[in-house]
Amino acid sequence: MTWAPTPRLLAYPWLVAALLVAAIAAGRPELAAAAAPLTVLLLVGLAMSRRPRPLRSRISVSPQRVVEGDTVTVTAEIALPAELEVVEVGLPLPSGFQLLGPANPAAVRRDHGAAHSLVFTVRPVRWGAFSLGDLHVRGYDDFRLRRFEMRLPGEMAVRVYPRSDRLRTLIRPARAHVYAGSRVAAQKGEGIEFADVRPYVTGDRIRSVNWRASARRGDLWVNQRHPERNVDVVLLLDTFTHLGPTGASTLEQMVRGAASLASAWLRDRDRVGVIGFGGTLRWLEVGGGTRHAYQLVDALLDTQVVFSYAWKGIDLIPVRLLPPHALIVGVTPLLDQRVVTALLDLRGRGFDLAVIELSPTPHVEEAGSETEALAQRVWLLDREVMRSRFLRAGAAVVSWSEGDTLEPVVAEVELWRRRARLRGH
Amino acid sequence: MASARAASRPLIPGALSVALAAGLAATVALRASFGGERTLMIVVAVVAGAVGVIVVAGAVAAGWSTSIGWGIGLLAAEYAVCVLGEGSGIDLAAPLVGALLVITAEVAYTSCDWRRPHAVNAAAELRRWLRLAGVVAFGALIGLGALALTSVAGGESPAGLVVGGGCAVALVALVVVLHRQ
Repeated sequence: MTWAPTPRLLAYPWLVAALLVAAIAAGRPELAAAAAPLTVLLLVGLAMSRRPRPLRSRISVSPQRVVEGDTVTVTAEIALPAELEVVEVGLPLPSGFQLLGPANPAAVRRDHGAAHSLVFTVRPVRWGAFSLGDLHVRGYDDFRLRRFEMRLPGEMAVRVYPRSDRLRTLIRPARAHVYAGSRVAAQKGEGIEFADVRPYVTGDRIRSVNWRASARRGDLWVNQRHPERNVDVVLLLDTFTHLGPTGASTLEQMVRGAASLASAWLRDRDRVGVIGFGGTLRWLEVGGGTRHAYQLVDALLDTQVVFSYAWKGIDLIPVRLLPPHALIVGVTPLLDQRVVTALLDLRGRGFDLAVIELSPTPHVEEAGSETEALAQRVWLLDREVMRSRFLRAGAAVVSWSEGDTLEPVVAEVELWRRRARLRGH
Repeated sequence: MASARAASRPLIPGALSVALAAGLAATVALRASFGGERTLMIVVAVVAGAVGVIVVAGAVAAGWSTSIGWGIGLLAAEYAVCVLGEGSGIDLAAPLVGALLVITAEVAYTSCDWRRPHAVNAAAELRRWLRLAGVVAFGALIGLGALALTSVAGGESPAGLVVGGGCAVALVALVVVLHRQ
């Protein structure tokens, strides 16, 4: 708590003293008379000025776990001491929060000892972990000669989860895991989906016999089916660089997309891991289940771009993070050559790869001159060449623009992969 | 919750304080006669007044509340120079000048306060200004009374000087004591 003089109290006594000294030195009573209003103001103001007792307050933040775009209320019960008639109460907002009401700061007036309830309504526009709830209070004495300031601690951690699309289509990995799941595997075995028929061998179950085929061929034939397996998916997030304003940058788009994909796969009992590939390497190993889903979202909340000049390749990624047969989904604006090289290296080592390109073009300023227009065209052509390298390597690349839904992008990736399978890529 | 309204714009008090400062400086300079011979004092008074107005305007425009005191001080200096050049007559408008100096300073400080995020309670603000006006008017009346007393007592005397000096020292000491409390 601070109780400090305002600029008034720092200036007025000197003015009074100067006028009185001048009056005595020059023998002019007018100067003393001119100093009289200021002198009376100082005397009365200082006589009435009392150091206030600390405020009584109770602050609550609710809810503490929200999704982007929801509202959070910060409620403060404040009781002013008798020394303060009115105070300004301000709520410092972290970047990524929007105030919906009331005005910040707000004025609170004393009401004979009764506590005032002040409710700030804020909306998070960006995912992340934030501290919210500290209030700053400022008040003055009756003549604003002294200022009272204090912090009302009410800080609480608010976790804002990314808004995620509910996906009906998902990218089907080329190969499934050995554990049971919801994906129809390409292999043949015990399952529901019909795959083929083959001649009966000793040990086959009678219920597997295809009686129609057996009658036609005069020998016992049994049905083969595709087993339902789960898949391993690794989301490789490019955290080298990002483009765009807060709330709509490629980084935020990337985390929203990753959250949507991860939650869809986890809902289908698949195993999902995440690697933040950038200036620093962060990861969460593949796993499944409810607990892992929470861990994954928390890991995504900590995603941030760390700038680095150092060259980084896939040799930095621990081997256990990339299980064999895992589908690797690169979510990247394809702006950094290190990510492009790493993804192509992974494809070269036989990993099943798909790339969701976070389109940086909406964030690029319009060309102002012919030279800039030419440079932009060259840049766009360069990106086309980069995409064609992925396609030639057998990895789907589909562009996703901020504001569009993820569903058609995933569907397009899946369509490309199905066509590639038919072509025998 | 008490009634609160959106942050007020500092433009109105800022413009008002500059207008008050300019009006005060011009009036003081125009009222001074100087007997037609004290050219240097006229120049000093006008320069002090003009610089004071500029300092107040600059402080209000930039939000430097600590500079307002200097501007008000220069305006007071202009008045002091004018009074010194006046000769023997007593200027009965001195308390009014003092009151206007306080009002100008308060309006300028308010403008600076409103430049940063703030909240205003209209009723409390009105009460503050009424209180301020009352105190300043009371101070002006005391100043007027002191002037009347001086004119009745007439002339300069060592005893009057001692009493006046003692009163001034006592006042400043009282301010310091209250400040320290």
